[in-house]
Amino acid sequence: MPESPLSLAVVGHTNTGKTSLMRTLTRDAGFGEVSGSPSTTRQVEGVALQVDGRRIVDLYDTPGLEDAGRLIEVLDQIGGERHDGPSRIESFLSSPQADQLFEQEARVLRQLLASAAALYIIDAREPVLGKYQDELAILTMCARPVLPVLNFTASSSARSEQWREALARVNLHAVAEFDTVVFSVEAETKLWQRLINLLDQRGDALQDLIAHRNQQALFQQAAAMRIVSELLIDVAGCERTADKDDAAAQQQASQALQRAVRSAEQDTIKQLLDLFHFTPSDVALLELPIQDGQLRGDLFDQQVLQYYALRVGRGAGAGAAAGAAVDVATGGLSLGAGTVIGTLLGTGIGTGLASGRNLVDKARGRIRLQIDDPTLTYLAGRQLRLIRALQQRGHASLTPEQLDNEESEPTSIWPKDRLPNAVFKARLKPAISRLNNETSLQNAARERLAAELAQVINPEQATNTNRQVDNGSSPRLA
Amino acid sequence: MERRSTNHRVRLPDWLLAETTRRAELKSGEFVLDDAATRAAVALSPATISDRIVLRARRKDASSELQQTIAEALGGLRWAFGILLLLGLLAGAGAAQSVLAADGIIRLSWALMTLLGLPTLMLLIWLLMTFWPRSRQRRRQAGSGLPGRLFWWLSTLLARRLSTHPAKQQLAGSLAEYGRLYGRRLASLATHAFWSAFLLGAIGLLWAAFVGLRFDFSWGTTILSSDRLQALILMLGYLPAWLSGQDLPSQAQVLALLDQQSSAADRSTWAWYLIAALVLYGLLPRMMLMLGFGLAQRNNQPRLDVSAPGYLQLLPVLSSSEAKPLGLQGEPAPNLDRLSQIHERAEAGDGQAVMIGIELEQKDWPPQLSEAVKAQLMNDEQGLPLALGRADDRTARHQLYDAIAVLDPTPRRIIAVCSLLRSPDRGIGHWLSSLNALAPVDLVLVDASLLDARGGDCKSRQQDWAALADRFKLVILEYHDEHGPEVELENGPENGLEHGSGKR
Repeated sequence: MPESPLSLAVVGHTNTGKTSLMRTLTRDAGFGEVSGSPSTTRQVEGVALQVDGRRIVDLYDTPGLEDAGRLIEVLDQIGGERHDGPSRIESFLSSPQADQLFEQEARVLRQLLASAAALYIIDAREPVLGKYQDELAILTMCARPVLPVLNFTASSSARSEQWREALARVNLHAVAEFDTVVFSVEAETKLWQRLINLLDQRGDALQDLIAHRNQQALFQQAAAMRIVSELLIDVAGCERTADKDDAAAQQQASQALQRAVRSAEQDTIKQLLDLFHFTPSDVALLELPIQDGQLRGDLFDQQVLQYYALRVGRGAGAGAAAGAAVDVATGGLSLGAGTVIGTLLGTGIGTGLASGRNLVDKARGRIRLQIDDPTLTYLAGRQLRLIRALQQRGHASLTPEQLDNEESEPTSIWPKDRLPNAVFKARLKPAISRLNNETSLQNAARERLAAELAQVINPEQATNTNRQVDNGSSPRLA
Repeated sequence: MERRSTNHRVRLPDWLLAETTRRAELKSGEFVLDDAATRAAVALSPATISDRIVLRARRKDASSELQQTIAEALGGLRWAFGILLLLGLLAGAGAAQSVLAADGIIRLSWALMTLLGLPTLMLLIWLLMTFWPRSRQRRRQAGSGLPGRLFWWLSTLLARRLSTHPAKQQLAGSLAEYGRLYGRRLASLATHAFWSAFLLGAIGLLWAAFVGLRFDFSWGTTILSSDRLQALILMLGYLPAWLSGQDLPSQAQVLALLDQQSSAADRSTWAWYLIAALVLYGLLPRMMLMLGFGLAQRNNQPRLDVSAPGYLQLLPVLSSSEAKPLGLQGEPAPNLDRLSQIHERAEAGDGQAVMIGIELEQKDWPPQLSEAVKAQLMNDEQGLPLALGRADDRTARHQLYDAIAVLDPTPRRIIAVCSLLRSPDRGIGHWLSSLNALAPVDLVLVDASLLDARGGDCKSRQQDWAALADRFKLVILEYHDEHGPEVELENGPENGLEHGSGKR
């Protein structure tokens, strides 16, 4: 016999992020209505979390509690058996007051009585006020397990300790921390595990949910890495040729190159958004740094590229930073092919690697232009940041951390801080890049390189969800 | 490890079907995601993504024809396997035939070298190729043995000849990919199967010859001493004899064999010796290896690399059936007014104004009022308000209410200092409204800069408070922030609010 789903009521004071929590847990950024104003949610709304088509948890978003202080007095007046909380709640629910002044509170209590347990959402930035204690007192009267969930714990003004103490005083010792702004799968796992401890007999199904969620995250991560690797392999091999002595043609070719790369990045962003189930409206909702399908901030921004030039392929990069456009595409190897081309200065574009073909081109007076290493690194970096943002379900800075914050250590994007072999190989085989030839027949070769790159690319860049971010309250979190 | 947890195994025909569909879709660049096949995969939602991809591929329009082609290609694979076995049998029988001399004397040394030596040498080469240290990727592609390559060549030949489907090219690509990933296993299986067949053929022919014809045995040597050879023969015979329960050839028998040829009485002993050596040293190891690779082939079905392009495009659609909306519950939400108990605003009294604080962030009491508020209060000839206390919990609220209710004369107004950090709620509204019935309540909102530091939206929070004031007939005296610049209410009048008070 299939086990019936575990039904959970998500309760809390108004404007503490109940609906945001629902959105995060359901991975549906469009769930319910969220705003910075109180009483946004006025009706109970349910969502089932499924694993392989099996309903594991039914989550019910409830309206915010607003007038617990007076409600507790009403409950006191109702009297009845002092120790029988549920019967007092029942008699309140059948009283006329439950249909009038306390209509919203009554909805919450009815849902809680119909549920197996409650998640009590707390804005951890708030002090432990009397009204919250009143709410907890009423909720515990329903004789259902209550798991307090501290939201906004990543904020610097969070008072997690005060809350834990206060909750322990009313015998709520199991507390989960789950920041809806800085999401991590680990925190969600902890939330469900706390619930398993609290409920005891629902363990197996919830374990399945945990396993499924973790696997999903792993899987999305692997897929995202693969998507970015495809982009990088395509961009690394992307090239345009121009006459050696024709500055205008070079300008044109370099612009064509930039256009191709920009549009490839745009495609990648769309794929990533699809992978993480984000719709264009979610992008605005979650404040992702995307505008019209493009990442905000120019890929060929000079200041950022100089920063990267300093870090990539040291020798050659340092020259680029000093203002000389060198053959950075060789990534510091610079096989004596360092060509200085004035027109390419600061465009993020260098001449292609010295290969046999290149020599033939040279003899014919043509040069090959490719995206240089700093730009490629910047591209990789901002894509990885975007992935991290998508994993955290919102909020991302797409400039390098060093530019953001003077003190933070620059993190390494490439393993061992140099371009991976797969990228080199892609540079040498322009024929496999879809940006040169849309119907490139060497799909297998490209896929192999991309798979190789996806294995070595530093996933820490994207999985490092522990970075403390003080996003504070934002108006989208109700 | 990562790979293991995300890519699941599927049956080989399914793997080929999914892979070929992926290649065809990638090639055309069209991913139809709102068709019946995709909907079915989403609706039925098999356990893993890999299964969903396979289900979708199976439900595609072109699928049945493609499946037919795949079946044919796999049939070609099987045929090739069969042909290889047959070749092995024939080769083995031929080799055995060659050692059966017309004069009825079998040179035992020559027979062993031909029928056992060659397969053993090939086995050694295979082992060397397989376990030679090299990079993982290379190892995957090498060491399949000559018959294995022959098998690949044969199977692609057959598959190509049989298939007439336009997706042929894609299928060939899929087969090649399968070969790249798992081909070594399959080719090794074919190699061992071939040599097993070779030995079976040889043993079979020898057996038939020994049953129907009479043979004598001899083992000559030109350069070895007979002592050494004797030891070697006995050593080779030891294990087969022990296993088959036969007696080990005696010293005299061996000497006879070496001297001229075996005596008539020893014929069966040496025939058994030869066959047992072939079975034990030739057939058995090959059969075991064949069995091992056969089991591996059967149990380790290929994994679908779901992070490959082409599958990636399907993932968002195929993995979206995780959360199922259960809809809104209960009656539609009531009008907010129905939930509110609103008192009429009292007339201003003659007494000194009082000040209360509600859920304030800072501990200091009373808070410093801004010069603007003070000036306004002085203008109204009210004097500075009397700081009554803070209302942070129910008890304090009751005490303050009671205290104000007994004030005589009634205060001109009640200055309620509230924090913008709090979301205004009905509880506060109701209490302020009950105070409003005693004496007019004016709100002073503080902590704008703290809210700002939290990253909150001051303006919308002010509007929330304005809405509360509006609903409960209160007046906002000022948005005041003692920690930062004063915040002006921009659209106060439009909201039906008044700057200042006491003008009612």
